[in-house]
Amino acid sequence: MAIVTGRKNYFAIALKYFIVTLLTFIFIYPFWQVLIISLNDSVDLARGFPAWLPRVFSLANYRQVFRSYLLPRAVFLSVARTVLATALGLICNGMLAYSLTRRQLLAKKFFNNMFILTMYFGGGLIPTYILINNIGLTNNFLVFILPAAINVYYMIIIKSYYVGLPDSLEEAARIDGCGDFGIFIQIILPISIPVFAAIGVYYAVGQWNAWWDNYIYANGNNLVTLQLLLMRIIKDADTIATMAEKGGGSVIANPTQANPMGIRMATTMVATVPILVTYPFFQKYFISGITIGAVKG
Amino acid sequence: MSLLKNEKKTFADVVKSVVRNRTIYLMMIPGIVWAVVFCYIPIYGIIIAFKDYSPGLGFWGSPWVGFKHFIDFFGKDFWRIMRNTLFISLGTFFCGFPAPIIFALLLNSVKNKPFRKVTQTLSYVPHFVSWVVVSAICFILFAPESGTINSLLRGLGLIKGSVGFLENGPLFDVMLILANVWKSTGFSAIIYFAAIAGVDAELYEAATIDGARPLQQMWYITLPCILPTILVMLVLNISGILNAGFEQQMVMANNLVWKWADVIDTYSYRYGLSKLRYSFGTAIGLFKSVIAMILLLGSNRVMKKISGYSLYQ
Repeated sequence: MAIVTGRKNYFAIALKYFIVTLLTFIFIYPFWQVLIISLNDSVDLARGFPAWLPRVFSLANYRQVFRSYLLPRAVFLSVARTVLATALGLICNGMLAYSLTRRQLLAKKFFNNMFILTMYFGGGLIPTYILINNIGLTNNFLVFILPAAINVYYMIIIKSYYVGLPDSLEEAARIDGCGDFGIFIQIILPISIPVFAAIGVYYAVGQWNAWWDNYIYANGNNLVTLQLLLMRIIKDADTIATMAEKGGGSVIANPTQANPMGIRMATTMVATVPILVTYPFFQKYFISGITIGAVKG
Repeated sequence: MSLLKNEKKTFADVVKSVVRNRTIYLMMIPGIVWAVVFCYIPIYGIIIAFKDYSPGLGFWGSPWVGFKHFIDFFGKDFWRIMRNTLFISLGTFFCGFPAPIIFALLLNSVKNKPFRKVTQTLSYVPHFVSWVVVSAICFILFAPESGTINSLLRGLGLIKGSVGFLENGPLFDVMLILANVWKSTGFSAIIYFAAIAGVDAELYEAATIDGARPLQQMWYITLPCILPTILVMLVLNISGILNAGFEQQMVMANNLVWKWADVIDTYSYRYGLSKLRYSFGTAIGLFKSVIAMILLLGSNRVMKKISGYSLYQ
């Protein structure tokens, strides 16, 4: 009996490993192909895309995109919005969650509902657009930052983390004469590092990947972040031409015969690599954020 | 010190309490300003759905037109837009809902821990990249002629010539569904991994002693134990049925496929904002919000019944 199930198991196990490996391949292979196309000579790409390794290895695509004036500026703007919005978001959400969980707060239900309602109902795209336009945030760097100051879903996750903290620490600090802001900075923040790390990662990834706000609110040429630049390169022939020829001269031999996919994929890699490189480190915070959120919902 | 619940509060007490705890009120100010400016003022702006808004006349000066924009929408593109929305979102649901469950169960049954760990980590990657990057990937995979999939299919002798995956309306929708599933499966599986990890190990031991084979254990122990999680996710998914994507379409669609790619959100943008028909777009957005809210409240109620807790509060 044992032998029979054993034999059956070997086949089942082999099949299982095969399916799981195949799935992993499907998840990962597209990134690999982007990488090898970006590392392939762009004239050679006219013969079709390489499948496993670059046919004619070349770094010219990367040299070209970094040489064009568009990309370094876009990278700078993406980093700036990621850092600033994450910092502002953590401060504002952290403070708001602190206030909303205090016992002393009057009309607590009202204030809580004021924020929860925004999760159910909003003005929608066009009224928001008109508002952003009216308060002068169009074509303004702040349009990336200010609307992200609060995220009610993240704020609720932080709140549920605070609720789980022991009261005794806060009471001791209060007896020592510490005010609310002091308690927030000196007591609550240090012991809430895990939840802030998780929310910080959510913010940073969201900001780095954002392109839509850029596309509708700041479509001028001086506020193009990396994601919007990539979108333009993919969709719009003029931008790709600018990247390929102008901007300090082409390093690609025969730019007219070059396949624009090389430059497109090089830019894609520039937009993806920061995520891929930091991702093994931040993924545990991402998961801890989900579990913290799931405790209380 | 603090005001007790059953104590009668006089106005003076309230003022005293607010003054004493002024810091916590001050700390809420950024949040309140944010909510008023970015949420409540736009909610108020919804009135333009019932007006013919023009920026020159402003919110108040623009003339009222009642339900004109709604009637306009229902009379013209409503069915096409609903067809696309439901096709894409139901397609995503029927492929994308079971996929993470099956993936989690499959991976959980793999005994080699490092292998499992690496696979799991790699499966999240698509979730973390932007839709712009996904669209760049789709352009190399699904391009006509030289695209990877076309080359593969030609190599296998399945097709002659090439298939325009992103140039044919219905086929584009299918690609969109596949992209949605590809992007979300690994990450959605996390919640099921957590649920499976929470299953009592004694149950498996008892089952092994009784001679239950792995597949039977999965069917009779793991699945029933994670059923509450599955139900919660199911209800959540149903409440979002009108969210058929927005960024995906905006970055991947082209003029050849818009007829099939337009869903409520993109339609509201493309026929409202970019054609400067602000009121028309707002009306469509409002229509969607109302239905979405009904679905959300309903599903929240169902969830309270099945799991004893609600998602929001």
